Amino acid sequence: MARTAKHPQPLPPAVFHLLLALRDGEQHGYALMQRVEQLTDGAVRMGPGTLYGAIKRMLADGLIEETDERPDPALDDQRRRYYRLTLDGERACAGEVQRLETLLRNARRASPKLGHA
Amino acid sequence: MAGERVYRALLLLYPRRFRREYRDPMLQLYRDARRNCTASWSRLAGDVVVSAPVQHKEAFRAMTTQGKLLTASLVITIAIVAFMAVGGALFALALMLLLAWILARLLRERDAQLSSAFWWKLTLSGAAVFAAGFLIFAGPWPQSWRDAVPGELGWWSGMFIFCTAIVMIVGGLLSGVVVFASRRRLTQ
Repeated sequence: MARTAKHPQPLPPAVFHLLLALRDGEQHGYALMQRVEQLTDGAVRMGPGTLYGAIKRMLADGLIEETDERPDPALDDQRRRYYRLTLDGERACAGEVQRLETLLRNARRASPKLGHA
Repeated sequence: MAGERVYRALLLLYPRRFRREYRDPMLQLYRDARRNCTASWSRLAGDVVVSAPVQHKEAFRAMTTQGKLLTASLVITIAIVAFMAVGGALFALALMLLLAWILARLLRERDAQLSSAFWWKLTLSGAAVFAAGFLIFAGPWPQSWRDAVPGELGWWSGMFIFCTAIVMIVGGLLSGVVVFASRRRLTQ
């Protein structure tokens, strides 16, 4: 089913966390892995297979793109691949945040004490 | 380093296309994580065990219907032969039914375009290969002809012919199930 602004489809957690991590700017795989861990206080720890599996899907969906620019060879390994958000990726990330906010608002409305135990 | 060599070997568990694209960055990430002590070896190896089947599932879904059927038939045949060797024909039959059911569920998603002639052609071809194999190995041939073939060559060629026949028959019958399931769904 197509993702629409009115009825956004949930993003897989790995994809959502990577989109959030990439909002800081373009990054390579290892930096992304660390950033996700940092953003989730260590709750989400991705390994290389999970990370590149999600990256493959996100590239295919047009949510991110690989960048051609490479940093100074003296500062970084030239073999690293860098990724950045596309406009669709930013929209998908914003849509997911909105969807989660709505979900939480509805849950709190249904049971005001929820989450305050 | 031994750890990196083992990890490199573990990467063989991923589908070839995924490996071709991401093997180098994954190795680079492994080195970074180990150098900076940000991930244990067991965590990195565990990730391979968890994520490789996901990639195989995605690769399987991306195949054409015929490719799916051939792959599934090969897996089923290998599993049947292995189970027959270990646990006998009843296990093999149970496994075959289970795998056929899983495959039928997987294929149900997008297979209406599967040619209706494909299944019976494949089944009949498999039966023909089986009959040819039977004729070759149990036909009324003179004993001198039989003695001319080395035992090991006979055994391996027999395995090859009968396994090919089983792959074709199982694949054909599974395709038939898919074709009829699609038709039934379309008419409902």
